[in-house]
Amino acid sequence: MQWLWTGLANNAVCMLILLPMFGAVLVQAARPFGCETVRRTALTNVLLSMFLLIVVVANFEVATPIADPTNVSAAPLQPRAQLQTDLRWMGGHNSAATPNIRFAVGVDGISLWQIAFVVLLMFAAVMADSQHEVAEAAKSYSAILLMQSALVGAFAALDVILFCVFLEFSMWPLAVMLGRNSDSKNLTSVRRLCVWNTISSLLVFAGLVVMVLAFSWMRATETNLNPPLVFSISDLTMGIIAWSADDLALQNWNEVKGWVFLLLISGFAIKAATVPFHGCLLASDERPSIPVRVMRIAATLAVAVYGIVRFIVPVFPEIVTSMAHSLSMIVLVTIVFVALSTVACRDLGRLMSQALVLHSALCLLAVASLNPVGVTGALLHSSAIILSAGAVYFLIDRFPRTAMWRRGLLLLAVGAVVGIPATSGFAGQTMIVIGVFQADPIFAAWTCLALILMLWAFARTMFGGETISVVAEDENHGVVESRVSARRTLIAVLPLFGVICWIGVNPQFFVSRMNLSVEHSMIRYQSVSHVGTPSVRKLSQKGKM
Amino acid sequence: MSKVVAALMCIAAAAPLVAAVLGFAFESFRRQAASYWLAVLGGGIAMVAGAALVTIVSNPMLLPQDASQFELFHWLQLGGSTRFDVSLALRVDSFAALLIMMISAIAAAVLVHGKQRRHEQRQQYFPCLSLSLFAAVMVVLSANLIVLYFFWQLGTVATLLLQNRGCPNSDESTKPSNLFFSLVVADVALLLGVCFVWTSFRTLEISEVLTNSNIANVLAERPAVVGTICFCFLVAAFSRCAQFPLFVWLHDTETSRPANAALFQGATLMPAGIYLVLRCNALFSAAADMQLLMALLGGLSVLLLSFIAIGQQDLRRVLGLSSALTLGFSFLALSIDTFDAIKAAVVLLLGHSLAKAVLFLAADNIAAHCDGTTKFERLGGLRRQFPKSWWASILALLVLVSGVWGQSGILLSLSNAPATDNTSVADVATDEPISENESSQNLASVAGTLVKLVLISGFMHSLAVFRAFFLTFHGRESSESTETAREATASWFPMFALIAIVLAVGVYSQFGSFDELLLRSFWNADMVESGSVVPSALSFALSSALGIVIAWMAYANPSVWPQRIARVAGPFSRLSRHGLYIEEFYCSFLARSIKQLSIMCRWVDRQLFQGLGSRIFSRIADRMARTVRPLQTGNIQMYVLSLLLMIALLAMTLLWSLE
Repeated sequence: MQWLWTGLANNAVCMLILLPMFGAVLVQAARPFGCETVRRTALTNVLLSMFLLIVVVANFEVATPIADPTNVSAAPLQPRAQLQTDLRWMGGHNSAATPNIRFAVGVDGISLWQIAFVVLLMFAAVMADSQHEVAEAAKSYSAILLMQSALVGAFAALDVILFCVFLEFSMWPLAVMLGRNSDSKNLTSVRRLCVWNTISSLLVFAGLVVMVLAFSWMRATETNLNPPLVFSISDLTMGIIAWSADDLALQNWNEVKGWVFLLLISGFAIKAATVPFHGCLLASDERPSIPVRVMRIAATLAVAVYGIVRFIVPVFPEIVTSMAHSLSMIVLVTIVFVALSTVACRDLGRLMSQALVLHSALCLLAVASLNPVGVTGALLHSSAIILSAGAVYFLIDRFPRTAMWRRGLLLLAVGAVVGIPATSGFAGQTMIVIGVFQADPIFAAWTCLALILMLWAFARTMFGGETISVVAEDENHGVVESRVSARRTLIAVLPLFGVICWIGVNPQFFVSRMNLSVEHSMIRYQSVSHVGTPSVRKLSQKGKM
Repeated sequence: MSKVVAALMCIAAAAPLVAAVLGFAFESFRRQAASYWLAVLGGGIAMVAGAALVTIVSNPMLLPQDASQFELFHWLQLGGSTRFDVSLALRVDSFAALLIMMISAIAAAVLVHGKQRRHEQRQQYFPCLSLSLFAAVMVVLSANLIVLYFFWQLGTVATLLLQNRGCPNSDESTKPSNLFFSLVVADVALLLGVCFVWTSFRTLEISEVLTNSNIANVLAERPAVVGTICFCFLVAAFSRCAQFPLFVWLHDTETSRPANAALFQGATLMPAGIYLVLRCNALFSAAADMQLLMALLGGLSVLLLSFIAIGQQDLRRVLGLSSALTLGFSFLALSIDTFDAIKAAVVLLLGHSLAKAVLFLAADNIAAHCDGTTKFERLGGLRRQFPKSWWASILALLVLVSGVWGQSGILLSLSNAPATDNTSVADVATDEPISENESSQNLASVAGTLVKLVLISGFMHSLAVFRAFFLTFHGRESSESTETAREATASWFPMFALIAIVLAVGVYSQFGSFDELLLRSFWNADMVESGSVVPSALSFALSSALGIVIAWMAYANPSVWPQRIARVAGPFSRLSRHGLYIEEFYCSFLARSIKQLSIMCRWVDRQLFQGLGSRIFSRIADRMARTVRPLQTGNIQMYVLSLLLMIALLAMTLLWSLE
């Protein structure tokens, strides 16, 4: 049994990707047996995914943080991804003629919780989804399972091409579901959302391909003009930094790095629905079903922050450092703008969408602060916010207004979004504010102002009687269905609330697992953050005078 | 004994938490009675644990060290150079234990008092009370600034929930803007202060931050930062304690049940503000400018709030303003930074909290029989109907205005301010003064003015509260105050229990053992040789007595003098009645402008980003679609040809790249 367990543990990440794909096929195959069988098939699949997730988290080794991050040369090699599965996909390993693209997946501190929370969210989506027609049910469950597979694949991918494939793949279930749930009036905005997301994926793809080619140019010598292309993410990110020490390589890299940065940052910015690309996200929020909303938030916010921390932060230290202040300023303006816009909104569903845009910008601001507290906060918050936002969507759509638990759970979920203590939002937002403060206290003050405005908007909506434009689907059915739906939703959201409170009460469990990876991503920035920020320096000088 | 102390700390904190969690669960199944009794039990256990803590911690024989700290777990720890380490640790010293006992006693009294009308309360009212108590206890016990902020904000959430739950009228409950903004301003100010502490001290442990060597190091490196930290903490404390000009949230609590107001103002919100400043006393000692600012703002608050209180027409509003201005006295005391002043502030905090809780409970008794209103026009001549409330109120009012509970100590400290020396904090660790006598010198220049201000404010305060008292219990009987109104038999117990505690505190504060108890917490405060307290006490008592006499002459019996005086002092009277128009200022310039700005942003968002941007995008998309439309002929050969062309193009590209 030991070999079975070891094999299961070592390939758990790979199975987390393949199992939902298989599940989607099974769900389609189960259509002749009725709606309930389809549902049970999907449910079994997500339960197995949950089991695999527990295996992944249990087998993830907590690494000791770097002792002295200021000493770059003394730092260990990049923390190796754990629970790896590495299979040859295209090309050979030592052949320069063919690209060495591999089906390599694994998990590290940056991707662990993104994967975990996506699986958890999709479990809740399957659990709460209650389609009454077999065809609809099969399509809905298949889309959810494929989405889970694509997102887990994108987060776990250790190969650039694999990441791009999964990223692009994640759009299709969303596009199908959005299209199915839209009327003619809403179809245009849905189409726009899909197009924008495809554009963002293509931009990211282009950026990464150019990065791969650029790394090859960097290594070109007179004897070896075409060194083999490297597609491994860790080799690529570490290699570019290592080869930058060579003058010729640096010269080659400097010629293209601006373009690569531009392609990647614009791709992830569109993905994160930052202003001015947020319009489609808000417009497509008119009448989607819960799985669509849930899939959308997972496919946009979490992926964007992950991509920036994975690709942009470690590879472009000079550009990021020089542009951090300007980028932060732009993001901050958008944060305040969105926060002000939320104040005029009294609909909880729409308010939630605007809050997501704000939180997305907040995470980007934290990443731009370029210190481990901010980046850890951004990663934790971006992955946890999808849980709280998902919980809010479940509760406003699926619960009858009269349900006993609804009010209390809704308050808790909204509280997690706005960051009340003992919820995930508090831990994430506090770390973000402290990280931003470390970069610039004035930015932190503006961030706090934006958070106050958002909190006010939610307080007015919650205490002033919320107006929900989305008609609960259950109201169209009988009382019995409503009760069943409410019970299912309650079971679906309880794990979400468990994790939300767990993060709030003991964030150390989650942070300790991402510590080393984040420290390593930030290793090039440690010397910068130690010098202090302009505002702090100004304050110190003023005091000394 | 340390283990016993740790266990008691856990019990004091856990009892209200468990009561809150179970209460929420019970209320979900409509078991309000169970939730009520749980809340009472939680409050009672916390009070007993607090009393036990006071007994142990104040006795050097039982606990040799000044404070006991107990770590539960690491809440957050980032390694490497960051060293961002937040551990959930509980720390108790004698002052903290005293405060826990007081907070839980008031909460228990409020809960016992609420028994008669517990069925009138909204759902989840009692769990919210327990949550509020838990947050307050944990603020006092926190050993880390982030943890303190955590529970500080939890207190805000509990208060907002309580405000919403406790108010039977849903229309009123939907207007928590002032309360909301004041509390959130306090939260943000505290968070920014904590951020400054972390960036400057590189630690968030309160005991480490407050060590003299650390403060001296930060002062040497960044002299302005300590002042900035103190300023942030001061804003947080002033906002929580409803000091001028952040007192407008008091009006919101007046719309809620008085029992809530008693809890907010007596037990949870306001003491937290004072506690923050008291706890960070060492930081304030090193920021002379901030001490002066605290003295001036405290003095200004006392004066203006007492002026506003005189013109109010609502019993609860007067009591709320009285709470705020009494804490203004405490801030004044804390700015002096001597042991006598700190002792006066502590005694005033304890006395005021307990006495004010009694007054709010008495107001609750009255409001319950007058359709929930406490406006003076509908009250009058209630002494006969509410004899026990009358007795409890007169005793509590005497506690507030007599000067024995703190004010005379403040007067004495202010009189001795020129002789104080602020070098003691630095002497202990660094042999160099952290700050020079700047604070003392600055304070000395305004001490005379502040003494006069305290006396004038004492007069106005007693005039305001006794005016309210006479208008409620004496004077002409209002036709609207029902003849059948009778005091409930069980309502007297919590009031008189609190009176007994406040009298005990007053007596105990006169003994040397109380000084020893406080010295274990504030061992680094300056011990200044001060003269007799009798002249100060007499002068304050005289000014208060003058106010009482005038209030008695004008309001104890029907008289035309108040109206005449109000007519003569027209503009001042209007200013007092409208609270210096501060609320109107906030509404007009802050809230309205934010709303207008918000509407503008929404419009820009819709028209520019979602409207114009989308239109441009869709036009481009349409044009592109129209361009390729001719290719969609439906001719299969055409599609195959296109496909082959694309494959050829791809192959050429690949070949080119391989070369």
